[in-house]
Amino acid sequence: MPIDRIAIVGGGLAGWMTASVLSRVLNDHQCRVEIIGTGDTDDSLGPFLPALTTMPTARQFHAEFGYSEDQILAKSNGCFSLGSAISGWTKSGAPCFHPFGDTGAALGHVSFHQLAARLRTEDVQVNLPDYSLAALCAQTSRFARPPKDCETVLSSLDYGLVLETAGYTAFFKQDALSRGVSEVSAEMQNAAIGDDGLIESVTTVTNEQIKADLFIDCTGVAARLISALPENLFENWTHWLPCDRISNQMTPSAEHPQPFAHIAAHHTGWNRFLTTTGYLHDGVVSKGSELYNAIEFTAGRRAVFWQSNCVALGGAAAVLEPLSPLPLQLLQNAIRRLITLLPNDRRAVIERREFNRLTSEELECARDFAILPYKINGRIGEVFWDACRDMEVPERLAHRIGLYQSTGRVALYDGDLFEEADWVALFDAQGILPRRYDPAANGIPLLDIRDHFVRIREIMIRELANIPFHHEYLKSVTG
Amino acid sequence: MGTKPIESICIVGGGTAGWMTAAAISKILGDADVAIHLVESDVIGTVGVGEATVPHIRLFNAKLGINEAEFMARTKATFKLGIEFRNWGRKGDSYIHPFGIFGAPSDGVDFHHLWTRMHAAGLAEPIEAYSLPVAAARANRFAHPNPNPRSLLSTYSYAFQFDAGLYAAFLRDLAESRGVVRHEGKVVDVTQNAETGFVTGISLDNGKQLSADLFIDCSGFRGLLIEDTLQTGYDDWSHWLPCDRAVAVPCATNGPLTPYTRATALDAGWVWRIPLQHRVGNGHVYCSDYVSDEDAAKAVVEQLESEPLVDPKFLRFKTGKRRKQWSKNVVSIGLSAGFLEPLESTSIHLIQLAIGRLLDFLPDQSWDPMFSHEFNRLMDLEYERVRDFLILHYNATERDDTPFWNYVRTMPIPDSLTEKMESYRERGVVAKYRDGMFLDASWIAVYAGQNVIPQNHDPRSAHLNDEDLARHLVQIKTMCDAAANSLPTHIDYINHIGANAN
Ligand SMILES: Cc1cc2nc3c(=O)[nH]c(=O)nc-3n(C[C@H](O)[C@H](O)[C@H](O)COP(=O)(O)OP(=O)(O)OC[C@H]3O[C@@H](n4cnc5c(N)ncnc54)[C@H](O)[C@@H]3O)c2cc1C
Repeated sequence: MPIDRIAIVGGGLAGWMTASVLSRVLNDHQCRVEIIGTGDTDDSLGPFLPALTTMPTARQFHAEFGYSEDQILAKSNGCFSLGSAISGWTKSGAPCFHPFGDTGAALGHVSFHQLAARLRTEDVQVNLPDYSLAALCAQTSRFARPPKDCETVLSSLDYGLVLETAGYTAFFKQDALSRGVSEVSAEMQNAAIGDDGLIESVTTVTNEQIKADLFIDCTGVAARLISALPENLFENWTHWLPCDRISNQMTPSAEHPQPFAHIAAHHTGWNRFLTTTGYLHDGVVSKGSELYNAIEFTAGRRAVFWQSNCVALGGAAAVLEPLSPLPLQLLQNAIRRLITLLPNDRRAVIERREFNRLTSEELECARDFAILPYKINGRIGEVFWDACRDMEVPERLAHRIGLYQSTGRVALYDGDLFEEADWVALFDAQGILPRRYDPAANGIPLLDIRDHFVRIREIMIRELANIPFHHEYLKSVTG
Repeated sequence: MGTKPIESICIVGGGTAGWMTAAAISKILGDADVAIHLVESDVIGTVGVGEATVPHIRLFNAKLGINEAEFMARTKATFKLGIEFRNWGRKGDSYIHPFGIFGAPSDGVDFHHLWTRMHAAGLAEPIEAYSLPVAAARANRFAHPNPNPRSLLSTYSYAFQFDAGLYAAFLRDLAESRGVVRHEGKVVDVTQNAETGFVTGISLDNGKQLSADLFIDCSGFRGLLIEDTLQTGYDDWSHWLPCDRAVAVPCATNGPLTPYTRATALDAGWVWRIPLQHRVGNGHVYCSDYVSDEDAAKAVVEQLESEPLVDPKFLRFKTGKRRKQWSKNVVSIGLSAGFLEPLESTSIHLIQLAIGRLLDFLPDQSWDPMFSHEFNRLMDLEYERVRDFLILHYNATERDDTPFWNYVRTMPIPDSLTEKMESYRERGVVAKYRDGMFLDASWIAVYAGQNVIPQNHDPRSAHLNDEDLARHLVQIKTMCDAAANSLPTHIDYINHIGANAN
């Protein structure tokens, strides 16, 4: 029996984004999409945050389903993001920048960070972000979208976005409603499960009953629908991701928004500072300490994401580092995966298996990436951070760390969201240096390597002067 | 650098694997201070039948700075757009697995779903009708892909078919010009460190002795160091890929120069046909449980297009993989590392991958076990994924005309493959992985070519109506045919770019 009714439970960002995408790809179908939920506190990605950052990959998602980035920016008071400034994670506490896009360029067959490692053994100080156009732009508050198909140094630039959650959600809501998604503005009360274990309908507090073939749980941390199904336990990850409290402050500001986030470690967790047009956002996560207006949360995942005819997306599937761009990226990937695996019948045996396999793989890789900065922190002598350094990490992550230290190479797995360069940037920013570098770097004369570094920096600095200021560029695209 | 780099490398074996390794390492390490020695024995000789490749070989050649036309002239090479499979799904069937995709998606729905739907309605031609490289291959035409990504003529890739002996000789020149020292002689003795078991040196029959920090075993099936000396063990996969012998016999070309390899299934195996500029390579890969050597040779000779140029040459092998391709200070590359039959021309690619990984993890004197651990993890994954793809060709068949086909059709297959086939059969889902050389289009080519048709397709195609879709299909086919016919013939093109031998 074909699927002709899809019900989404949860009226936050995850719910409306899913509804909008479904209404776009199911465009001319008879398939009906309904959304159940209120616009109350949106913790559909994890604990509620009024602003979020995206990875560059979010842009592919927008482009793929035909969303205008300019409109998204305008609607959500957003700005561009070139990466994160990070501070307080190492022993010296020295700040560093973790840029999007490429850092430096390979010489011959040897990648840039391997060349840098060779220079360092010659007592040359190398700060990798000095060779990233994104980092240079961030330092000078400049930004322009890199032109398509260009072959200059501009092609090394990549960027994400900073968005206000409410505006971003409203953007998708407006789109979904204009495409015929119907909204039942009430909380869900309970679900009726048939003898075959499939959900038949959900009932709202206003006593409205909504039947569907496929249900999507976008109720966030509460996981109200999927947790009604039997034996789908929540796996707790706080032994790896120790922070369990979050708070956020939003203060009005007349300053121009900055094209990056600032991630600063403190003695029991970290802060994320963001700016949007008109506001400063100060988010804090920490373990167990007294935070003003704190919300508690538990990092972890649902054992199964797609169970019988219910798919959990966003915070209902997993809660992971709420201040990082990971939850949004995982959501967008899961939506895309659901689209390519849209089932032909309610049981969806094959689709379910493939969805769960891929989602699980990806989530575990993302989790490992999230654990890494805790594990390799350099804040010696602080109880919280010492414990993080001493914790036992998942086997694959331990392998990645060991391999990097031994060889300077990064082990990649099927579910990885990040490429070698991203892992290297993180290791490097936190002062983890491999015991050796690529021996092929010895095949290049030292002088050539030095020249190469000087040249890259020169070209970038020259290019920088042609790049407009971020706020001017932002104004020109959002009107 | 915290650790001391290795100072010397000794490669044992001068077949395709040995010389590819020598050429690549000497090039990539540039002026780094590493002495590279290679030992080969005229008495033992090489297998030398590896002639068909996959597109990745072009990256390898490019890294070595090889000029394509010069390389083709020296190795008497031809272009390859894919492999034609005859008699696999059913006797009389023919399909081409091309180096390229099928059709074009519509409204975000992958082409194979559209095709599945139209096929079920009896409104589609075989899937290969919607592939430009297949159309070009069938018409014996070829030209380099167009660099403009908007052109239809940019949507395919290509590889080569070449004389493996000449390729090894070509690479030998390169390697020697970069300082690799070649030693002729047969290895008769190997010494090991009493404590660690590391190989410390080898002695040749002419009395010469060589020592090195790192040994690369390219000695062929036997695995002189990795097995004879280190006894690493072998994972035997012959219950899944039971062919265990081959008989090779070249002949003169009779007919147009085809830009593709052919693999024709027989009663207890299959024969390859690989067109080179100066001859055609042929060989029968078979299972000795079901056919005698004599009959196997007869079967291949019978279907030659011209007289054999030399006597048939017999080879024996066991499909599988060395349990640890890197053990202690010995890294095995090529036939010494494992064997997967040449059905999809993967051996040279696996050599190339191993070289790339070895360079990534070129060890230092610390002999940190991390290096070999990661190398082995990555190589195991590649071998297993190629293995599954090969098994698919045998298992996805309706042939029940011989005991051999009855066996492979009904044998238990690895769970990893069972799941993949189920996902495709029921919903047209092609399982996705990061590693592994065969992408979606390759799996679809074999599934569709061997009559594995999904029962369901992507429901998003439901709103497209038959007429629109039919028009979409006809349009793609017309464009592919027209583009293919605009290309020069394969032989003309080889001459035109100066890639012809002599
Ligand atoms: C039937 C068949 C068909 C194939 N078709 C293809 C194909 O189409 N495409 C493809 O990619 N691959 C193909 N292959 C695989 C390909 O031939 C091999 O991967 C490739 O030739 C590499 O072989 P090798 O160098 O590892 O070993 P070999 O060619 O066996 O070389 C071994 C070397 O080691 C030396 N040696 C051995 N013992 C000693 C000793 N004691 N002392 C000194 N030297 C020694 C020998 O002298 C020789 O130089 C095919 C293989 C077979 C069996």
